[in-house]
Amino acid sequence: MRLQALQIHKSFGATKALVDVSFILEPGKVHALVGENGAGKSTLFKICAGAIPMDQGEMTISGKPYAPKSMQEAQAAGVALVFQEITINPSLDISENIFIDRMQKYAGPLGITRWKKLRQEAQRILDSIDAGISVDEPLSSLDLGRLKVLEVARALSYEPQVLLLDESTAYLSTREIETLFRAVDSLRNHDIAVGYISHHLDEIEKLADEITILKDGRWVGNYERGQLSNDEIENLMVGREIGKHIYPPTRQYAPEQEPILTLNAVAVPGQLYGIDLNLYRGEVLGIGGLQGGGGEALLSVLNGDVAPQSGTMRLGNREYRPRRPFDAWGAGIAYLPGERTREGLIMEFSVRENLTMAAIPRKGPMIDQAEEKRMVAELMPSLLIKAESPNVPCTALSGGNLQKVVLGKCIAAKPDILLLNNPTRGVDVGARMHIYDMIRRLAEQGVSVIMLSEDLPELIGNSDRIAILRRGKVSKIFDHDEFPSEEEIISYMI
Amino acid sequence: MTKDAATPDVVSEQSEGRKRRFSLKAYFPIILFVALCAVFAAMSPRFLTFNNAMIVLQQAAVLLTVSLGMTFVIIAGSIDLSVGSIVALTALAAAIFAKDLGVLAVLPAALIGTIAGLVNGLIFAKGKVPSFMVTLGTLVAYRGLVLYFTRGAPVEITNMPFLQTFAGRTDGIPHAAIIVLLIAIAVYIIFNYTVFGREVRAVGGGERVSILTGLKVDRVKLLNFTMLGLLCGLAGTLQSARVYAATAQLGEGLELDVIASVVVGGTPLTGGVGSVQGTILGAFIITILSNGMNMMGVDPYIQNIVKGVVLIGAVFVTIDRKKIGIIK
Repeated sequence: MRLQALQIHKSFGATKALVDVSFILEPGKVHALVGENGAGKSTLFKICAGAIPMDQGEMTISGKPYAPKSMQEAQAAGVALVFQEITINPSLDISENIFIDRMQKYAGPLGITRWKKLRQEAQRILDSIDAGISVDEPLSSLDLGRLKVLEVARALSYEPQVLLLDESTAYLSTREIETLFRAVDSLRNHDIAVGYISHHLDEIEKLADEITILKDGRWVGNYERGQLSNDEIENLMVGREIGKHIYPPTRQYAPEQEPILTLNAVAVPGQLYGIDLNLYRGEVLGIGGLQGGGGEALLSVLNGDVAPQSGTMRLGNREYRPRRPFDAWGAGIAYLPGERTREGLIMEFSVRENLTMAAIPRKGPMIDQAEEKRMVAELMPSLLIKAESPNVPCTALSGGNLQKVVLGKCIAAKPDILLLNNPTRGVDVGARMHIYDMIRRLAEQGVSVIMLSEDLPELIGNSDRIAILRRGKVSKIFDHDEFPSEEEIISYMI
Repeated sequence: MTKDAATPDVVSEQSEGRKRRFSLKAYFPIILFVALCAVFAAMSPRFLTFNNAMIVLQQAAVLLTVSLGMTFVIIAGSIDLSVGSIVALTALAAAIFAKDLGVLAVLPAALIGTIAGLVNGLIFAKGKVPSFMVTLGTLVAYRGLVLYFTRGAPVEITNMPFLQTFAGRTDGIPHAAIIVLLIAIAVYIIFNYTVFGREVRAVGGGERVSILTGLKVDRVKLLNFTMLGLLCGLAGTLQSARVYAATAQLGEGLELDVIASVVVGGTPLTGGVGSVQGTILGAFIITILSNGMNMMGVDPYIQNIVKGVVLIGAVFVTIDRKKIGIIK
């Protein structure tokens, strides 16, 4: 079956996610979709799989019009999507994960599940893509790459004609990616049309029959295998002018002698094993590493959310030992959490109430309403928050604007140290530029920023120094006069 | 939340749905209130009279006082089931001290209520025991205290200044109504204009967010239960004066009417949102429901059925299903 998506347009509010993008999948061929974060790759796949509607454009399957209103409709038409997030349920076993929504099919008399049949069928699917996974294995023994393979198997169990596979957020190790690539490679033999999003350019070159490049929501080009070198792909993807443009210019920066924050052998069982780190006034310290490598735990310790088991922290020349986040904010350390809707914002609260939440201006027990208005009137334009009024609930705002509100909340507290956990996750390019700009401005005003990011270009583009964490330890610190490549950074992450 | 560009779209769709639902939710208590008044006024000529209005005010006083405090507790996402027992305990204190202290017997009653609320709050906030379980326990324990001290016999109140102050009338207006009005104004100001009021909503709207933003969530919870205890103390004083005695059964089942008042007033049990004025309406709706059905001579057992239906109906309309996701 042939899936054609022609001249697709999609906007989220004022942000143009896709402009006139076309993408064609042929049966038995792997078509890779590459581009930077925020280029619109995932959006395009979601449109193809019925997860979100397009604004304009035309889609056909084998020449017939195709306009799925839901993922179920798309599935019925033979199009399956594997999301970028891992969606495996850890409390189920491997075969249950594959068939969870169709367990009735394997119910025997009295409704009792025929486990043997279920497992056989699951194993058959796994073997058909050369997964090297046995259904008897516990889920916990699977690494990230094989979990992804398991998701492919689940998608295959619907017997799709078109499979869209998105692995753009997970940083799979070279070994992990191999299993997945073998699985994708074998899909060709099933005569399935495969669309594939990956950041692993080297491997893609070997695997994909065709490559489409997107940049900032626009179609750059469509190329046959071997037509472009890796470097050429990267250049087209990043587009030197635009790609570098979103990050602030490199600056002359020399750290002061005395750090304002010192960590000494800070340890949290199972998460951090003896972290030594200095933070200097007015610098942006990037933190890189795999998920679970210790970055999140480090921020939690600094924010007072998790108490370290051992080690010391010093703020200036005083010992810093927060018992809860309240103490951290009191000591001038603000925190922007990784999940804005669950940890960063109260969605029912208005923009104003969220912005001032960490520093509610008061007159005795009363809220100083005039001062609160003044604060908000200053914060909203400086962060370019687009909202009808400060009094609309945050449910009315777009992702980028929501993130700016969380950042505004931190800034309102006038911190000396700002902790950022993936500050631009799920944020469009425009808002990202504003956020980067704001981070740089704060650093120039003397605020020290610790920025944890899974997005390597972002980490490189914004940090003065970069510390890489690997399995709970600092594996490398790139100093302010070093300019590491993504590959160099990854080599210290894995 | 997902990590993709689809987020804004989903959010805006939700907010539209929420806006539409919101208007119905916002007006639901007032619509119900007016409808009930219209029905009862049509059925009974005595319903819409000054005298009956004053009776309703007197009847609503205790329920409303406790419900105002409960509004804070529920908006912050907790629950207090022990309010009926605290009212009984404080009514007993007022009855015992009225002999010697007269009007000032309200002070020991308020103090004991405050302590009872503080105990609830401490076990909940510091001991990290769910508020439902804590107050289910103290519901029984506080009632046990009342039974222990009274041995089941009522403690009568004969002190006239006490009775006159808390159960008397001036120009036909019950003093209880005036006292409750003052309490309601104070609570309204606390809720809408103080930092504490903002923090209560923050804790209910997102406890994790509040903790990470550096709010003293434990302190907010503690203050909430303590304030509710204090209001129960005032309610106990009013109640003891109204019936000239403290009995062992006083306030039994009050928690149900209180929770009903808050929920009917548009504050969902999921917390985060709600209003003081809604609860005031809710308490009057619950009171009028009894008052009007009594006046019409409705069988008391049937009355319970009607109350139950109204409660479920209110939750049906006010609950925000999108926020909860899974209904347990």
